[in-house]
Amino acid sequence: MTLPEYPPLAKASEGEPFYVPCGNEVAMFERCHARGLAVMLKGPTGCGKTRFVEHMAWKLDRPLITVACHDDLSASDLIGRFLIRHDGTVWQDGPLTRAVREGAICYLDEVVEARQDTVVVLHALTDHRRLLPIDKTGELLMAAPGFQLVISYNPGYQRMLKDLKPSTRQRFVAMDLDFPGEDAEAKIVERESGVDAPTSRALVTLARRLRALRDRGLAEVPSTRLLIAAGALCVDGIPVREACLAAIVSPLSDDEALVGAMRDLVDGTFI
Amino acid sequence: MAEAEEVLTDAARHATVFAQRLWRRYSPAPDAPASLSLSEVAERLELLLSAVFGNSYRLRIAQPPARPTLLGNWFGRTPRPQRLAAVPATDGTSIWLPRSLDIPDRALAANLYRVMALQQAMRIRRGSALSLWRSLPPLAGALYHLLEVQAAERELLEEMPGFAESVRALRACAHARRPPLSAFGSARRPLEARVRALLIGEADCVPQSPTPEASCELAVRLLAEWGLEPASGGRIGQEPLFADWWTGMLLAPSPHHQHSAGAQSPFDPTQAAPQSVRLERRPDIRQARPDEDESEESGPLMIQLDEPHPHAEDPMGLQRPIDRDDADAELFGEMLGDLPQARLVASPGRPKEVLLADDPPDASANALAPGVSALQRGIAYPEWDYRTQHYREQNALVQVRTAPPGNPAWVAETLESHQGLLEGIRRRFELLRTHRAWLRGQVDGDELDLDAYVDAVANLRAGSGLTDRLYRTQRCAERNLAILLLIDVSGSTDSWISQGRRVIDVEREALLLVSIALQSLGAPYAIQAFSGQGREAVVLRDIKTFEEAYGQEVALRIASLEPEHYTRCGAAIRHASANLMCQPAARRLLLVLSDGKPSDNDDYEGRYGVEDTRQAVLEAVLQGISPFCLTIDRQASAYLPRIFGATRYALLPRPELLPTVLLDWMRRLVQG
Repeated sequence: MTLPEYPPLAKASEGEPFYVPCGNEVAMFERCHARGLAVMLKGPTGCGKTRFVEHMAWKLDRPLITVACHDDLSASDLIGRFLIRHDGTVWQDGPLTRAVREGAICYLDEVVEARQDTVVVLHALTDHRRLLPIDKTGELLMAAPGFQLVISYNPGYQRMLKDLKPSTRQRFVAMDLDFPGEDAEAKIVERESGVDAPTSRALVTLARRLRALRDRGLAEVPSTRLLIAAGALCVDGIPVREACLAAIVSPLSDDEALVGAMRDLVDGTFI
Repeated sequence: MAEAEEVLTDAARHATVFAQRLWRRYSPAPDAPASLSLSEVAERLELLLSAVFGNSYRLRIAQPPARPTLLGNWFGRTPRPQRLAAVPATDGTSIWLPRSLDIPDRALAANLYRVMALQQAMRIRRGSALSLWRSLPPLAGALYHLLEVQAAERELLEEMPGFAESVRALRACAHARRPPLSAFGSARRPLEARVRALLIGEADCVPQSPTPEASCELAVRLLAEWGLEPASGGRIGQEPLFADWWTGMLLAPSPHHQHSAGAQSPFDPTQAAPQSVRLERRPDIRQARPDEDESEESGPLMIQLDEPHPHAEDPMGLQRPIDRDDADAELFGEMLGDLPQARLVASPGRPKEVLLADDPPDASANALAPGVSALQRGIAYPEWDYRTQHYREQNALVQVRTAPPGNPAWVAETLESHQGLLEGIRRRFELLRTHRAWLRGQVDGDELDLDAYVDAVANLRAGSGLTDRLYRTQRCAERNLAILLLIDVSGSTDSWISQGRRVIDVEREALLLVSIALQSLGAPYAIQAFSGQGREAVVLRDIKTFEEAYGQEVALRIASLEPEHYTRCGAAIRHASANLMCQPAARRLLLVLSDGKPSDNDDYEGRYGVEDTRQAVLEAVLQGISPFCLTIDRQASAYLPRIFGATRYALLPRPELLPTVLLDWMRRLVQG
C-alpha cells in the first residue's frame, strides 16, 4: 500500500471574501479556532453561512475544504477509500482526512442531510482527542494544528424529518446567523450585485415584506442571495420589476395566490 | 285573537313588501357574471396585506346601505343624495370590501380592490377608526374623515410608491361615480366641492396630519377656516360626507358581545327544522342603549308571548315581534334587510328562521365559553368555517384518554378463529420488511468487492479487459414509514351488518389483525380511536402509541372499543397529524377507518363538517402526510371525494370483509 502524494491545498481565495458581520460572530469564530473548538452555524438558506466560513478561512489564513452533504453521503466519502489500480490498491484520502492531515478548515454544508451513521465519525474529532481513526488502514490520525471542523444547517428546513442527534449537537459551539439588518443587507446587495443604492434599498424592503409571508405558505423566504441575483439582473439592463419576478417571485412558489400577492408587492415597491 | 292594531301593521307591512318587490323587479339586473368578485381575490389580498403590514386583517364583505324608506324620504330625515352601493370600510380591526365592483374590466377591478384593501389597512395602522372623532360635530367629522383618508394614502404611497398609478385609477373611478353636484342640497355642496377637488388631486391645501388626534384638531380648525358651516336651516344630516370607494367608511369598533351563559338549550327533535333564507344585506349591529332594556317606554307594541327566540329588533324602540310562527322566512328576511340597524339578541330556544348573510356578525358563541374547567380542557385545534373562509381559532378541544382494558376472552377467541389467516399475514408482512443489503459489483462504493476483484483479475489474466465494477456498497433500502390508524368509533358503528355482528365488531377484528401484521412489518405505527360530542369533547383514545410494541395490553384495549358519540373528524385528523409529524420518518401514512359522514350534535352536521374535514386533510397533505380513508358507508361517494380527493379513499361494499380488505390495502399502501 502506498500513500499518493497530494498537491498542497490551495489557501483560501485571493482577496478578502466580502462579509459584513452582524454580531460578534467573527470574534467568536476566532476564539473557537484558537481553541480548536468545532463550530455549528445555524441559519436560513442564503443568509451567508458559506460566505462567512470563506471569510474566516481567509482571515485565519487556513485552507478551506467544503463538503456539500447529501443523503447518500457515507463515512467513506468523508474519510477515504481504497482505489484499485492495475497493479494493486491505493488508499485515497477523503476530504475530511485531508483536512485533518493538513490543518485545514473542513466545512460540512447542510450536515443534517447526511446519514446519521456518517455524522458519528466526527465524534472523536470534536472532543479533546481531536483524533480521526481510519479503521480500513488502521491509521490513527491526530489532527494537525489549525484543523477546525465547521458544520452548517438550516433549522427551518425539514425540521421534523431530519435532525442532528443530541449527542452530536453538544459537541459544537453554535452560532445563530440570520438575515442581516436592513442597512447591512442593502450594503451587501449593493456591493455584491453592483446595483445602485436606491434599488438595493428597495430590493431589501421588498424582501422584508416577502419574509412576512413565511407562515402564510411560503416554505422558504427570499434570501440575500436571491436579492443579489435580482440586483445583478438589473445591472445587466433588465427592468427591475421583471428582474424581481424572475429572480425572487418565481423561484419561491408555484401557488397562484401567493405568486399573485408577491407580484403585487413587487409592483407596489418599485415605481 | 289578533288585535286591531296588529292587523293594521301587518297589512301595511305586506303592502310595503309588495311594492318593493315590484320596484326591484323593474330595476336593472344586479351584476353581470363576468365581473370580478371579492372572493376571487380575497386570498391574494390577505397575503398582500400581511406582507406589507406584518399583520393579517380579516377581509369581510361590505353590505350595501339600507334602501331609503319612503317615509324617510318624505320627512327628509336624511338629506339626499343617499349612498346606494357598498363601500370599503374598517372598524380598526377588520376590513370590509364590496362583494363585487361591477366593473367589466377584471384587471382594473383587481387593481381597485388592491388599493382599497391597502388604504383600509393603512387606516387601521394609523388608528383612524379608533380615535374619538365621533364626538365631533358631523361636518368636522366629515373633514376628519377626509384628512385621515388623505394622510393614510400619502403614507401608503411613501411605502409603496409603485401603487401611485392604481391610486389615481381608484380616485378617477370614485370621482366618476359620484352623483352630480346639483344632486346635493345647498348645505352639503361646499363640502362636496372640496371632496371633488381632492379626488382629482387639485386640493393641495390639505395639510398632512401625523396622527388621528392631530386630524381631529385640524378638522375643527379647517371647519372654521373654510367656512363650510351651512347657513341656518340647511340640512346636512348625520353623515354629510357622501362615502364612495375612495373615502370608504370608518365604523365604530366592534364591541365585545356578552356570552350568555347556558345559552345552549337541549336539542328538541319535536321542533320543525328552521326555515332558512338568504339576506340581501345584513343590517348593522346596533348596541343597546344603556337604559333601553329597562325602559318602560319601549312602546305599546312590545309583546313577549313566551320564551324568546333570537330575534332582530328595529332601532327605534318599536320592538316588533316579527319572529312569529306565521311569518314566512322570506318576508322576514326582506324586512330585516330593509332595516339600517338591528340589535343582536341571543336567547335560548331553537330559531324558527335562519337568515344567511354574506357577512355574518361576529359570532361570540364561537369563542370558548370561559366556564370550561381546566380539567375538561384538552388540546385545542382550530376548525375551518367555509362560510367565512377562515379558521375558528381553538374551536375544538381534543381530550386524549387511554382505552380501558377489554375482555381477554374476545381476544383469545378472535385470534383462535383467525389462526390460519394469521400465519399468512405474518409471513406476507415480514416479506415487506426492509434490511440493509450489500450491493455488489458497484462502480463506486465503501469497500472493495473481493469476489468481483478476483473475477476481474482472473479475467484480466485470461486476456479480457479490467472491469471497473469492483466495489460494494451498503444500501439501506429503508422504507422509513410511520403509520397511524385513526378509527371512527362513533355511535353509528353500533349498526348491525350481518350474522348478529355490528360494525364495531368487524372493526375490532380488523384492527387486531392489522396490528399483528404491522408488528411483523417492523415500521412504527400507532392506533387511535375517536368520537366526539360537541366541540369541547372530541375524545381520542390511544389504543397503541408509536413507542409501545404490540402485546396483550394493546389487544385488550382493542377489545374494549365500543360505539360512543358522533364523528367530529376534523379535530381528530388534526390531532393525529400532529402526532404523526413527531415521528422521524420520511413517509407518513394516515389511514382513517370510517363508517359515515362527519357529524356532531351542533353545526358540524352537513357542509360545515365536510369542509372542515377536507381542510384538515389538506393540512395533513401539506405537511407531507399521505392520508387514506377506508369506509363502509355506501353513500360515501357523495362526500369522500370532496374530503380526501378522488384517489385517496376506498369503499368497502361488504363490511364483514373489512379484516381482509384492510390488510390488503395496508400492503398496497406500504409497498406503494
